[in-house]
Amino acid sequence: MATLAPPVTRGTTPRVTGASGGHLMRKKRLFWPFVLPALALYVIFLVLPTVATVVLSFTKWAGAGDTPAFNGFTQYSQMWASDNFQSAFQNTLLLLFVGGIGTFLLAFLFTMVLRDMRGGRLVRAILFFPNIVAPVAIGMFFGLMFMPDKRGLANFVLDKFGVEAVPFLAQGSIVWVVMGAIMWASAGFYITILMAAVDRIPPYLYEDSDMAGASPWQKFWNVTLPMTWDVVGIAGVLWTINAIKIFELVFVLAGSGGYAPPPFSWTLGIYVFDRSVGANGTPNFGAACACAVMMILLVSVLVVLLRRLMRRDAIQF
Amino acid sequence: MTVVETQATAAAAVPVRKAPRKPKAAPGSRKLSPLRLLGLIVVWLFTAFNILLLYWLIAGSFKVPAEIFREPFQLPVILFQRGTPFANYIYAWNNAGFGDAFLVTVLLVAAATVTIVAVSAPAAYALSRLGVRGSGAMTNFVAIGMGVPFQTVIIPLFVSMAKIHLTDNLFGLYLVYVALSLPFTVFLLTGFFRSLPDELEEAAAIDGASPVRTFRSVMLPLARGGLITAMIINAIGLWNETLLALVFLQTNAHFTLARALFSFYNAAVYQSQYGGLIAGVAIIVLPMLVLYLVLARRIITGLTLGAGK
Amino acid sequence: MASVSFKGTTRFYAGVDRPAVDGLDLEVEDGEFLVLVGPSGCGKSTTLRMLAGLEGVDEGAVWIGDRDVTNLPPKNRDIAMVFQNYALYPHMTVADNIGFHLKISKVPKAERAKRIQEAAELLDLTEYLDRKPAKLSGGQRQRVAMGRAIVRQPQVFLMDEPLSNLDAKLRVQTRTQIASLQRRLGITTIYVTHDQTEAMTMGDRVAVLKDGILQQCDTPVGLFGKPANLFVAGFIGSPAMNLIPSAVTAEGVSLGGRTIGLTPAQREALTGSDVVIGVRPEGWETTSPENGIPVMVEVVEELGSDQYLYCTAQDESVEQVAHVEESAEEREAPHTITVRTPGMAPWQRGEKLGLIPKPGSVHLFDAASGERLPD
Ligand SMILES: Nc1ncnc2c1ncn2[C@@H]1O[C@H](COP(=O)(O)OP(=O)(O)OP(=O)(O)O)[C@@H](O)[C@H]1O
Ligand SMILES: [Mg+2]
Repeated sequence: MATLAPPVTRGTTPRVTGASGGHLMRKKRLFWPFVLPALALYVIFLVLPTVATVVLSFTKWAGAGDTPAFNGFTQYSQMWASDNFQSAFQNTLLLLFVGGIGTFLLAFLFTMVLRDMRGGRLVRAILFFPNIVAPVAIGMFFGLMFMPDKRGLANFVLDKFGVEAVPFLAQGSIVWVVMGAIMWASAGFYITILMAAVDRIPPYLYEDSDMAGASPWQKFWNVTLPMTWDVVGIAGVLWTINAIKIFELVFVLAGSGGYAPPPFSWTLGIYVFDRSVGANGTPNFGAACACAVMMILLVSVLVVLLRRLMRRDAIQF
Repeated sequence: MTVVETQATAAAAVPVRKAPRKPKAAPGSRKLSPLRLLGLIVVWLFTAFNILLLYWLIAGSFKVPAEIFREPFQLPVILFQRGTPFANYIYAWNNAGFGDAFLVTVLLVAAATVTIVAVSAPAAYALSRLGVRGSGAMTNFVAIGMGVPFQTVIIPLFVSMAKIHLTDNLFGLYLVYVALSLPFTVFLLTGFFRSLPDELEEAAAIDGASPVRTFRSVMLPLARGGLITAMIINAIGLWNETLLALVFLQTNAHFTLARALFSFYNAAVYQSQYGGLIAGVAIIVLPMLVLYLVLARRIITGLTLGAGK
Repeated sequence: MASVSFKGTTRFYAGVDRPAVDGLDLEVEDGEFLVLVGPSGCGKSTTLRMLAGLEGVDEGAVWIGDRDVTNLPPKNRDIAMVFQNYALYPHMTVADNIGFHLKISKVPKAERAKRIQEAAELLDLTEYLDRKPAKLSGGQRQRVAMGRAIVRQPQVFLMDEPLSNLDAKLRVQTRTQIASLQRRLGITTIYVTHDQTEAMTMGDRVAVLKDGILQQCDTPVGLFGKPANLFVAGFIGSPAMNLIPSAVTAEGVSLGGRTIGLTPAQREALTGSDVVIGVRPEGWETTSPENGIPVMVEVVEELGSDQYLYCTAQDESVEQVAHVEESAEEREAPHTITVRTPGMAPWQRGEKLGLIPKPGSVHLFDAASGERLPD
């Protein structure tokens, strides 16, 4: 009878027998001790605060010294009505989509060339280089480079050609400078991911398309893109995640001289920061939390959409 | 005899073949279609820009502001003439607090990196190789953390950590760094552990090694490459981290390099200390550059492994 | 349809001093099925890839028909190639794979569909047109690759070991299919293999390559009957030809106590004082040990229709030479003489017998140069 009794341990563990089964049981006992430290840190420092942020976004809370008071969706409606948030939201979407499409087009263009380029390894390593540089430093460099007078490198060069100094960091143009800086800083990463996938494509497929007489574009469209589709999808998700939280690069670039950047250059990340520390007026924790929730929502929606759009049968080769 | 002779002459007559230095490329493969030409131009522009930037940075850190702005592409002269070529570095190191910040950053990053991997490796092993039901779901649960922008957690974290005096405190920042780096690291290492062969683990089990022992003496050494990669990637990320340092550190003495640079920007622009500023940038960039030069392959494959799988 | 000629074609690879293909001179006639055969690494694929335009030509030229195509890109050569691993696009269906080249060359959709359908019918692939390659068997994939080549209606077919990924039985089947298909379509075909049986059964002519140098190009019968040198003699035929070195005397050369006379032309062609005598396994007549070369049976291999006797010579002077390093038979039994007798013969291990070469089955080679002596 005893043998027929259901296992006393968790019903989910598969039944095990014999010596190796005993070992398996002992191994499984490791699970919680091994997972718990990481899980606890993760929950305490990331999951619970995220939940707290969601809750706090429904409160009115100025910050330290104040106590949160529930006020429903007031924060959200006030936020949507504010010009600063709107320009932050617009800028973020612009960076996300235009910058994303630009970066991926650039990366695709590079994959066409780098696959069979002499010295390609070295070039790839050089292209990747911006990824190891602190974003603050990159923001600072572009800030100096696009200084409005001819002390800035860009205007210095323009001046050599007799062109009037361009106010690169003024409203209207700064978004494009930021976009250029971000594309430059991140292209290398996406090129590297895509190239790693491209290198796994068997060379004979390209040889066959050579024999068919395919142009570089046709090779890209018929071979490279479909063969790297999954990695493109993952890269897209990564871009979304990274682009939404862009902060210090823009903060330093736009606030050249170390001041808080003008609101027309804000991203959602800067908006949250500003409302949290009160760099631009008094802090407003409630608003910061509401904006942070918007960021999470944006990430989730876009990632889910992207996964949906990119889904297709896995290819086996 | 005659036979031997003819053979000898025949051998001498055969010209010594010399392979061409560069064999011919396949016909058509070097033809430049407009798209390829565009690609080549962009690739070379991009590469040139990166090299130029690096040059500008290193040269600029030895220049006075007048040279930086008026002769951006020339080699530095004035500081060398004055006999104080390292003046900018000395200024940044001593007067702008980069010296202290360097020490703080090295210690903080080293401690955090080691802890991250020490905590993540067992978790990743357990999630990927113990075959416990629900591991997959739990891995996903942790991986989702990669998508959460840090801006989301700073307010609750700051407020609650301030209550127990862990703000403006390097240990507090260390905890935050460790915790917030876990999702990526666990994700990277689960992929890595999953790719290891089963046989050695089974062999150890048959030899009667305890599971903990198997993990320590079989799996960890096998996964060493992955662990080192995870450390390097985290080290680069934390070395450059700014947002959390900005929120959690207020006292100059606690500043990390990125945080110090952030503050110094203000002062440098105000005092026109651009030379010191660029030297400060160099102090934060160059160690990573050296690391990159030594470990480029590992860094690149590690990052793409984390992304590509 | 077109002929193909290689004119002193040479190919070097970067960093390798010896050319992978060295001064290849080869004419392939219109509609001919030519097989390139040789041990691994001898330059067969390189030859094919030069013809396809996938490799550059360092010296010499390649002609297709009356066009010098040496510097033409692959697409302008009007050729189709079947790769060893088929090079099917995993993300495309069978129909899309077959029609890919037509799509690239902008053949109208209706025309394309018609040609795909025709090719599929010819190759028995109609029911798989909507499948992806991963869901096909090896043989079906091979046929898809063939289909992709056929729909182009090219002037020349190139095939690089198209059967090497199939199992033995399917390989035999497919090899007849390919040969008959080629005869039906009448398209000039160059076929690469390292399997000499495949070469002999499929080719109108067979070109034997070694270390990038063409050894002999002839019909299978010519190749088998009159191998031009020791390498070809050892490479073609299975089991391999028995090659026995011998010294030249005033009377001729001696083989196990018998003397084979040399013609004046043969003496003229000699570059040294030694020859190698080649006798194929089926070239022996068996007799009593006193009458022929005395040997002892070591192994009897019964195939039913035939029987192979692997024998050791009782006479020290009759020692086999190990000529072709690559041949597996050689490695197993380096110093035995192989004899083919009718199947079910009562030979036993350890039995002694005598061997006499049948008239007309003796091949003579110059030991120093390896070249065949004139008959
Ligand atoms: N890309 C290359 N770089 C350098 N050497 C090469 C390259 N490709 C081939 N070789 C060399 O050239 C020689 C001929 O190669 P090839 O591929 O033509 O041989 P093969 O006859 O097709 O052999 P197999 O039967 O194994 O396919 C070999 O010695 C090979 O090592
Ligand atoms: Mg080959």
